[in-house]
Amino acid sequence: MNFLDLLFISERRASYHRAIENTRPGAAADAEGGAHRRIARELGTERGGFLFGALGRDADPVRLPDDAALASALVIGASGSGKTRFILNLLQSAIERSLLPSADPLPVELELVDPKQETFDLLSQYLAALWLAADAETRERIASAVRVIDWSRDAVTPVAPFDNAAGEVSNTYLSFLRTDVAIQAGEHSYSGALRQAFFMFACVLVERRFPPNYRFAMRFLDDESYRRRILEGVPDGDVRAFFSEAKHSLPKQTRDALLRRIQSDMSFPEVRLSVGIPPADLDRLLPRRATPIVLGNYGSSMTLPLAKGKERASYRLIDILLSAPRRDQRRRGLLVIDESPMLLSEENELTAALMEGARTLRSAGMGVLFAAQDFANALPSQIVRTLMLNTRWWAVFQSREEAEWIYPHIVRLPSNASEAERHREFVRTVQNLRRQHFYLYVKGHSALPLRAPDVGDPALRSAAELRTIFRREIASRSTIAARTAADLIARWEAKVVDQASVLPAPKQTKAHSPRGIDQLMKDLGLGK
Amino acid sequence: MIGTQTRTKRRLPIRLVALTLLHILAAPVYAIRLLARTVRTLTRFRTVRRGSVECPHCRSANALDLLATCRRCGVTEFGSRLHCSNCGQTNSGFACDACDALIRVL
Repeated sequence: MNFLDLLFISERRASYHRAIENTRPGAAADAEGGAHRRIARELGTERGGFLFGALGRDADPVRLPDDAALASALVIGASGSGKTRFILNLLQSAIERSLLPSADPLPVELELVDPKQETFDLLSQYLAALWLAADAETRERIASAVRVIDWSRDAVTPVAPFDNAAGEVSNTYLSFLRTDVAIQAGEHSYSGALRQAFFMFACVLVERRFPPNYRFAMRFLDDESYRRRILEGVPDGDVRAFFSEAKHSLPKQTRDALLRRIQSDMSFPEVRLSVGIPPADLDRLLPRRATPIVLGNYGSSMTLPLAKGKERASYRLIDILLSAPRRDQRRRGLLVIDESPMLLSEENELTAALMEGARTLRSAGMGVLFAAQDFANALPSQIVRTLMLNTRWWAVFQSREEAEWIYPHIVRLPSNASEAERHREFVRTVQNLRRQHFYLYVKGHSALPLRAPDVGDPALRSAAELRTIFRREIASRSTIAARTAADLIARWEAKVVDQASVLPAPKQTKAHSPRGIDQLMKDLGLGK
Repeated sequence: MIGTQTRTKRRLPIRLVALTLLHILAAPVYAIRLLARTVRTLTRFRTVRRGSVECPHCRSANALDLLATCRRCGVTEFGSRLHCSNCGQTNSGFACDACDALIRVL
C-alpha cells in the first residue's frame, strides 16, 4: 500500500459525503435510492421500450430501449421466483406492439422454445384472451401471425426434419446435424458403427425427401433390389457405396440396432404422426407462410419420454440457427429458450451452434434469451462463461451462485462491515429475494434491484376455456388432425414401401454405356 | 587462504569510511527529493480534499467526488472518481465533464 492509497482511505468517508452532495444535493439520507434512480434514468427510456419493472417503494418504472430489451440475455431464478411471469411480460409487450394498433409499433419476430410447457401454456392463454377481446380484423391478424408447434394424441404440428427444401446448407450437413442431435437427445447408447449407419440413413432420407418411417427402413435394409432402386435417386456416391456394400459396411448387429432405434422412435404415435408425413404432402397441406410468432411446446406432459421433446426442440433450434443469417433484419428477433440447460447441457453440435449464435446473431438483429433455474451448476463452465460474455443483460431472481455474478456490479455504500461480511449479506439477500423481485444488470451500468411488472389475468375466462379457444382459433392453423396425418402416412407407405414400382423417377439418369465393340461402332455411326 | 582473510579484515574500515562519505555526499540529494515529494503529496492531498478540480482547458470545475463506476472492476459507489475502494485502482486523471479533455490530478 502506498501513500496515495492511505490518503484515499483516510478521505473515504468525507469523499462519500461530498459525492452524495454532488450527486443529489440534500438527499444524503436516500443515497442508495438516489443512485438507483440515477442508474435507471441512465439505462432506461422514459417512453416506448419495454417495461422491465419498478424501483423499490417509489415504484419508478424502468423501461429498457428496444435494442437492449431484445438483445441476448439471461433470466435466472429458482422455481416460483417469478421468472416465467417476467418472460411472459416481455413476450406479451412484444406481441402487443407487433400485432395490435400501438403508439409505438415494433415489427418483431418471436420464437418460444419451451421444454417444460408452462410458459407456452400461459402465453397461449394470453393469446386466446387477446383474440377474444379483438375485432374481426385483429383476430385474423393474430391467428395468421402465430404458428404453434405442439403435439397431442388428437392433433400434431407436422414437421419435416429430414427435408432440406430451403437448401440453406448441404444435405450432408443437415443429415449430420439431425443425427448428432438425435443421438445426444436420445436415451440410447450408440457405437461408432451405429452412429455412422444412422448418419448414412439420414443422408438417404434427406436426399430422397423421405420422412423417417420404420417400415421403409426395414424394407430398405432387408430388400437389396428395393435398396438399389432407392439409391438410384441418391446423387451422393459415398452414400450409395455405403449401402451397396451393406454386407461389409453394415454388419447384421449394426443393422438390427439401427432398426431398433428407428422402431423405438417411431413407436410413439405423437412422434410418428408429426415427423412421418412426407414433405411433399406437407407443402400442399400447410403451405409455408411467414409467421412472426412461433410458439413451441416441447414439454412431454408426462405422455412422452423427455428425450422426444428435447430432440424435437433441438431440431427446431437448428432450423432457426440455420435460417438466422438470412432473416429480414428490419424486424428485430427474439428467441426465448426456457429451461435452456435441458438443451445446452450436452456438448454437441447444437450447443456449439447455439454458443456461436449467442456471439453472432446480434449482427442478424436477433437476440437469444436463455432462461433457467440455475446456470452455474447446470452447465459446463465453458458454456456458462460464453453465455455471460455474450449476453447484454441478466435478470437474477432468487438464486445463490448467480448472486456472485451480480455482486461486483451493485451500488456500494460505505459500511463498517468487512468485505467478506458485505458479500455474505448480499448473497443471503439474493437467496431470499421475494417473488417477482430481481436484480437487473445491464452491461455498462450498475445492477438495479427491481420488482417485475404484474402480469394480469387477461380475461375473465377459465384457463381451460382459454386453452380451448387457443386450440380452436389459433393453433388449428398450424396443426393437423391425428387421423389425417395417419392417412397420409399410410398412403405414402402403400405407395413407396409396398408398391415399390411407383417410386419417383431417379433424379440422375445413368449414362448409357456401350456394350461391346459392335455397340460402340454403332454409336459412333460406323457400324451397320 | 589465511592471507586473503587478513587482507579483507584490513580493508573493512576503509570500506565503511567510504560508504559514510558517500552517504554524506548524497544526503542533500535525498533531502531535496524528499522535500519535492512532500510538496507534491501535500498538493495532491489539498486537491483531493478540496473535492473539485478546474479543467486547464475550459476552466470548468469538475467534482472529484461523485457516484462513479470503476473502469477496472465495474463497481459503482459514492466516492472519489480517482480511487476505487473495491479493487484499489487509482487513476491519475479523468476526462473533463464539460470538454472531455484529460485532466491530470495525481
